[in-house]
Amino acid sequence: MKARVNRQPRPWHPAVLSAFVASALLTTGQTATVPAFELPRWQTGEPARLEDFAGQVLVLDFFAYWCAPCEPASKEIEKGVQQFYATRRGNPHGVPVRVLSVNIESDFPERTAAFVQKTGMSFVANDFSGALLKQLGGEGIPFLAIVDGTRSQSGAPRFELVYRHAGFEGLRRIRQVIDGLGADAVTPKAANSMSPESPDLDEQGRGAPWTHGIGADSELVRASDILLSDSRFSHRLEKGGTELELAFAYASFDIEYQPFTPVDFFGFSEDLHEDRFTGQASLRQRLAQTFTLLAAGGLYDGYSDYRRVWISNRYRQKYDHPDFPRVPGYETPDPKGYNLSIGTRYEYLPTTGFAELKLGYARDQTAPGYEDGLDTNGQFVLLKGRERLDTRSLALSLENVLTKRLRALNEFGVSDTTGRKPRFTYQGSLNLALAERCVLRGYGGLSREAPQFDGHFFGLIAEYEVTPNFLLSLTGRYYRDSGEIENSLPVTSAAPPLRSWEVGAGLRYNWSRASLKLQAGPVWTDYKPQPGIAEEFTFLYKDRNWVLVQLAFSVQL
Amino acid sequence: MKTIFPLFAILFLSGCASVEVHEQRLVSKPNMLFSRSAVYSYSSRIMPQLQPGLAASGGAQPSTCTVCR
Repeated sequence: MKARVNRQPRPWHPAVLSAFVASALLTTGQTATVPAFELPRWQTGEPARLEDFAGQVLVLDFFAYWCAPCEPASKEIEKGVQQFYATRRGNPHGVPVRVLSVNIESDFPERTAAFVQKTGMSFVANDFSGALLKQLGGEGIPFLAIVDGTRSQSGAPRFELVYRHAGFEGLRRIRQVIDGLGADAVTPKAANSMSPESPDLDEQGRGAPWTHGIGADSELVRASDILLSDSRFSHRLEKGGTELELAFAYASFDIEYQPFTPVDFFGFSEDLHEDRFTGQASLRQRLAQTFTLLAAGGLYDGYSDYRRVWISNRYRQKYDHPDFPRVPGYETPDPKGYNLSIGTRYEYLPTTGFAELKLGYARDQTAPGYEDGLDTNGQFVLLKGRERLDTRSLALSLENVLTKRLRALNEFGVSDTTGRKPRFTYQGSLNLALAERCVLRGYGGLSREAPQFDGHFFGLIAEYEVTPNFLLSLTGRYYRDSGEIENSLPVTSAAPPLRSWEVGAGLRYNWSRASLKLQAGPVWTDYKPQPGIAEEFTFLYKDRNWVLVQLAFSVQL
Repeated sequence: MKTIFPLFAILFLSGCASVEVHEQRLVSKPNMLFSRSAVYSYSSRIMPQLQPGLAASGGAQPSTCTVCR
């Protein structure tokens, strides 16, 4: 069924003109007249006409089943606007308030039906041609418009557009607009029992209760002599324009340590186990229609990666050997650190274009490296590498819908760490909807740091929807770098040039409120032998065959 | 200049495109989004240990070798 709009003598002029005029007037704080419309009601096809809402406040909620942010918005609007005002017999001035949910998607009606049921929508109409959405200046969904019909007189309906916005600003803002309408209505209504200043209404007006989301994921990677794991549990709270996430992560490092005895005479084999605990909090707070504040902070206690565990053990065996006295100058490592970041997200095209800028600061107390040396008197001295590192970073990301099948993300970053040159990173990602059930995700990136680190990678992911809820995927990635930067100490522990390949297969299953993902596959690392790399790190930088397994689960409460 | 030109091209492509609401169905599917959720993303927290150039800036450990310059 096609949506019918009463005034459509020309193909595009009315829509564009109306949108332009509406936009100009609303920007200057004035209202715009809404042209009459007639939309077929969902499923029944009965007409829903604008004139039916004379003397009322009409809230238009444009949605489509595939619009992820539409679902929570529509749910809140149905409960917090339609039901809220129905139980109070209108707004504080006694004006009836109706929500008309407008579906813009004609394909897959069974998915729309599921969406309508999930959100509890009570009054739904179709606008498949998008004519009404365009007339109101809608450029993205969810799109909300509030129409004031309180100035209508008998035989002379008058409807003014008093609010429109792509994206849901929260119930408080919507109710603020609705509650201000009808005070000077042409046909006065009997005011209901609640005034705008009523504490109960004000409290209710703060919006729907917090919604909760729980996420848990775990990764495990295994080689013949190394087992690494990283698990994370997160709790996300959302309300209106506020999103708070608290996360706790645990990582473990299990290594069958083996010294390279030809040069490491006193080294011995042992099984190593280390843990890392991390706590992280992040806040997203919408400040204005298109701006969101981003803030995050976290702490960790433990090693950053398995190589630091291996290298630290090498130094421990050499300078704090169980059969010999500890060498003066050696200290038991206690790696830990914290990070802070602040930024903003700018929606520069409604629902399709985003720019994000973040500033970060991190302090790491590392497990330092050691080397034998001589002081100015020719006496033995233990040289210790830098222990505290401060990192300042700047990251810019741009996300945009390029065509009806392409979505792109470009991420640029620069970070500056104590005693090092700035590191520049870039990653570009492109998601392509090949067909209704097939998605191809490609990405590539590079990382550069003077004087010599140069890493780059590219990968491809193919996804196929077996059913709307069940998805299979295949992944592949190639990685290459030039080897890490020269050590500040005479004997380098830095990694030699590396090539790595990774393939995998996975599945994802979605329930109505929960999702599960399982992914697994082999990874190969191949280090290039290079002069200058100390032989004592031979077993650290040996070629390995790994297996990576990832399991993730999330639920919306 | 060779490096900068493609970057500007990417920025241009990203910033100027505009797709009508009715044509956004396919690009709005959950697996077409760049999600932060582990269920929908393919990033890994462990892999930067094996492939250090994957590490983006801004984390607590952006450096790849803590004793390196």
